[in-house]
This record gives sequence, C-alpha cells and structure tokens, in this order.
Amino acid sequence: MKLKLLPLAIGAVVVAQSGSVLADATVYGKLNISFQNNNFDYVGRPQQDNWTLNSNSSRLGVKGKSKINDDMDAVFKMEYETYVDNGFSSCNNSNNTFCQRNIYAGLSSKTYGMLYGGKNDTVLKMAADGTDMFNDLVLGDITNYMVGENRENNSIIYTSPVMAGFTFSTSTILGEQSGVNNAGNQEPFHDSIQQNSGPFDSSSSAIKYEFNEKNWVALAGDWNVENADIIRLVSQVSVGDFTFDAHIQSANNHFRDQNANNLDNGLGDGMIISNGRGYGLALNNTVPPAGTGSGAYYAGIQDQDAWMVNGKYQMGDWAFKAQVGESYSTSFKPNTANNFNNGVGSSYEFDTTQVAIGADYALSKNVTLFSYLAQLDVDSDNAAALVDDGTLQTGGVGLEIKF
Amino acid sequence: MCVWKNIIVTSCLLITGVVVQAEESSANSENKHQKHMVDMADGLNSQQFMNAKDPDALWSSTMFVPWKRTGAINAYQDNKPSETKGGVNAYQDTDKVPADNTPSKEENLAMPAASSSSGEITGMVDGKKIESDQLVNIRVMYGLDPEHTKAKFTPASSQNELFRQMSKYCSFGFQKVGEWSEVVEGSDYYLYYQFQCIEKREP
Repeated sequence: MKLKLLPLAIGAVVVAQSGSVLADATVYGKLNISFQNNNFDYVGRPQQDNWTLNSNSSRLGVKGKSKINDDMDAVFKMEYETYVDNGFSSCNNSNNTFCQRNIYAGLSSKTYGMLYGGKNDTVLKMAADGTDMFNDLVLGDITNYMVGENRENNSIIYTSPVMAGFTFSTSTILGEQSGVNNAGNQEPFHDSIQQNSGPFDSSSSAIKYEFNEKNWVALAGDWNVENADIIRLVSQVSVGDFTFDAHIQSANNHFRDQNANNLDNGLGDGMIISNGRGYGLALNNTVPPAGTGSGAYYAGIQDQDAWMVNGKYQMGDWAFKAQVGESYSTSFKPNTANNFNNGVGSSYEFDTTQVAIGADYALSKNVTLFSYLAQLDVDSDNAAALVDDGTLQTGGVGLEIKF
Repeated sequence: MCVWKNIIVTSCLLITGVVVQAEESSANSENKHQKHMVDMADGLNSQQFMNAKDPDALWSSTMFVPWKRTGAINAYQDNKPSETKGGVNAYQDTDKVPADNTPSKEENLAMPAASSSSGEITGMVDGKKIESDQLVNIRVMYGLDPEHTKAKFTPASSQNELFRQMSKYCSFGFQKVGEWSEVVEGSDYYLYYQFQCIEKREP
C-alpha cells in the first residue's frame, strides 16, 4: 500500500468505529540533525575540540480545533522536543524522551482573535520568529548571546486577528508565588516574593505590521520576564531572491536594586542570556542550574544592548546565508550577596559577537541539506575571574526533514 | 556598542518602510520554499497556524474527508485544474453552473492520449504528467429527475463513466479513495471520484 493511503485507511477505520467525524487535528513536526566539529577555546579552561552529532530542536506536534459555532473554535496545540542524537532530554534534568515545548488550549474567534493559555514562547520571542537564520543551531541561534528568547510556564496570551496588516498580541505570565523555584531560576519572578503573586506582574507584548507575507516589522516588549524589561524591534524585508532580517533590542534588569533580593545562590538576580542552549558564555564560578546544558549559562546581566542582521540569497534550490550579531552586557556590581565577587569590586562588561555563514540545499519541499560555520567571540573587561574570554567555533553539515 | 553598528541596524529596519511592494521570488522553485506548518508554529499569528493546512503533514483528520484533502488535483477539462488549498477544493466558479444556467451535458475529461507500461498515471493535467502517488479528482454530472435534467448521466451510468475515465488514466489499475456528490442545480449533481493509480505488481 502506498504511504499516502495508509493514513486514509487508518482514518476510515477510526471514523467507522467512532461513528462521528473527529475534530480537525494535524500531526506535524521536524527532525533536524547535524554532524559537526566544535572548537571552544576559553581562556583559563580546557579547550574543547570534538566531533558531535546534534539534534537541533527536533520536534513532534499535534494541533487541532473543534468548531463551536461559525465564528469560534476551541483550539489546542501540544508540541514536544525529541532528541534524535541520544534520546536524552535536558529540559527537566531527566532522561525523558520528550521535552515540553509550546503547549496550550484556548478559543479562537475569527472576529475577536485568539485567547489561549499554557506554556509557550513569550510574545516577544514569537514576534521575531523566522528572523534568526541559524535558529536552533549550535553557536548559530541568537539565544547564545541575546536575552529574551524565553518560553514561559503559566502564560495567558491574546492575539488579535490581522486587521489592515496589523496584528497585536499581549500576554500575562503568572509567577504563582508558591510554585516559584528560587533556586532553579525557572520562573519569571526570580526571588522577588512580593512581586510574583499578582495576575499582571509579568507580561510580554508585540505589535506587528505586515506589508505582505515577506515584508514586515514588529515592535515587542517584555516586562519583568526572566527578570528583564526588553524592547525589541524586528524587521524582515524580501526583495526578489534576497531576504534580509534586522533585529535590535535593549534590555534592563527589572529589579534595579540588586541588594533587595539578597541572593545567595550564586546565580545573581540578573537576566539570563540562555535558558538551555547557550554554549559560549559562562561564569566560571557558577554552576549552571539543572537543565541548562553543559556549562553554557550566563546569569547576572544588569543591562544589555544587542543587534543582529542577516541576509539570504535564494538561488533555485540553493540558499546562501550570512548572519552577524552582537550583544554588549553589563553585570551587576559584585558583592558578597550575589557571589559575583571578582576581587575587583566593580561591575564588569562583556561583548559577544557572532558571525555565521551557511548554505542550504532543498532536496524536496520537505527535506533540506544544510551546512554552516559559526563563531562566537566573548571579550570581557574587568572580569578576569568571572567571565571566560574565548573564541568558540563550530562547523557542521546536517539534514532537516519536515512533516 | 559602536555607533556605526546601530546605524547599520537602524538602516536595515528603515528599509522596511521603503520597500513595501517588493517583488516576489522567482517561481522556478517556489514549491520547495513554501512555509511549512512547523515553521508557522512558533510565529506570532497563532490563528494563521491554527488554520493552516499542509498536504505534507504526517497525519491530519482532514485525510478522512475526501473533499478536504489537500494536494489533490482537480482534473476537469473545461477549466484549468488547480490544486486544492486550505482543505477546501478550489473549484472555479466556471466549474459549477454557468451564469446562463446552461451547464454542459457532459464533463469532458482531459484523457491521456495513449497508455504506457510505466505503471504511472498516463494522463496529463495542465501539461504536466501526474505523479504516481498523486490524488486526482474527477467528476461527471448526473440527474435524479429524468424529466428535468441537463445532465447526460443517471446515478448508475455516471459511475460507469467515472470508472471508464479512471481506467484511461492508470495503466495497471487504480484505487478509488473518495466519492461524494455536490448539488449543481435542482436535482442535478456532480458525482466526484478521488482516485490514485496503483503500481505494477510483481509476479
């Protein structure tokens, strides 16, 4: 039996047995693996030079909707990351096969928009979706050097319909005071008990204007999400076979008075630069919290400015792309409370730059071969004891299958 | 951060305000570069994602409903065949009752010129050979009331006609995977068959 007929046959059996038409549901996802060589050269730490097989945010999702009336549907989405390379999930410090990504349930109205709740990317992160041309890749993803790439629990999100090209979205993220894990820094309201119990203590919003599908601009902001207040401007422009993206943002720590939080866990109360996928930045006197990957974590950022631009040229089945970006961060002033005692007694600064190039070849609509080179440079001032200067390079070839 | 870098980024953002009608990418490989459902999943427009249909999705409940299946080709001679979009067959208005209410007595299918032994569909749609795993929709009009019909076929004879057409398209047989009727006018209907050719079976 041909592959396409199999689901039809299964469907026929299911319908016959249930006696009714099922809700509109679809299974989708992708597998993305890469074989690559990594050379991570930190100052003061052993050099890492190895070959790895990586699973790059491979995922399996189910989405669906059930009609309520002509205007409204009940909707749901359940999306899980799976680890093609070794089957180990790092999302909750256990070896689960699947790791929760975006999962929600809600109502969708053609007239009024969509309201849903669950664990989901912040609106700020969603506003920039598709602009990172090396998304999910080692040293390629902007989450390696920018704050704001967060997926939050307990999110309630509203997204308007597209009206004259405009889409507006806003969310509130509940800290759930009793559920906050202060030690793990997993919730948006880290260590600030007095501010984590209200319904609107944390929010993320964006407004997007689409000139057409390939030309748009979005302005987004976070307020007290992962300790950060962020304003982000993103744009995508397509001209012929060329696509350009630009991304600029400014972030400040929401809790301006570091001493008020009286930290003692070594992570500080600053913004985090990565929540699970960062490779390049680390405080060498801190231990990454559970579930954040291998020594690839940076916390304690007080302010950060960042930008990224990239371009892609589509030449038939080939796509050639390049991306450069930079973040400039300032830490908290070290003190005994936050364990950022670098012996200097003053705050430190570090500059991270990214350069990446790549070439993709589309074997079919669903299958793409890709290759890329990426480099992160970390350059710090006044922080010899805390931030590792270094140059991190990787290059790889990979395969992506979408379904 | 250096000032010039800010200038570069800001300039790129401003381009958006200028280039509002950028030309579309060339069409030679457009099919391979269409946005997948999985790419829409993380975007801001959650309603667009929820309403998106992808013929390449691993599994979808719309696969149960033949007229909602994505990726099927409508092989009708009297109008340009088009691939179904968004779960609804994109039949052109001319494919239904003409403005003057004088539908043709017979649906003339674009029959293949000659059969081959390749095991693939031998028909041509829109000048392109149909792939062997392609779902194809065909139809004929039939009438329930012999006294008031513009159709040539009865319900029984319309089935014979559709089977005849399928046999012309496929060298080694076919599988009918869907069937439905759609009202045209009064007691006249289109009978649709959705089918797929089978490959040559090894002895």
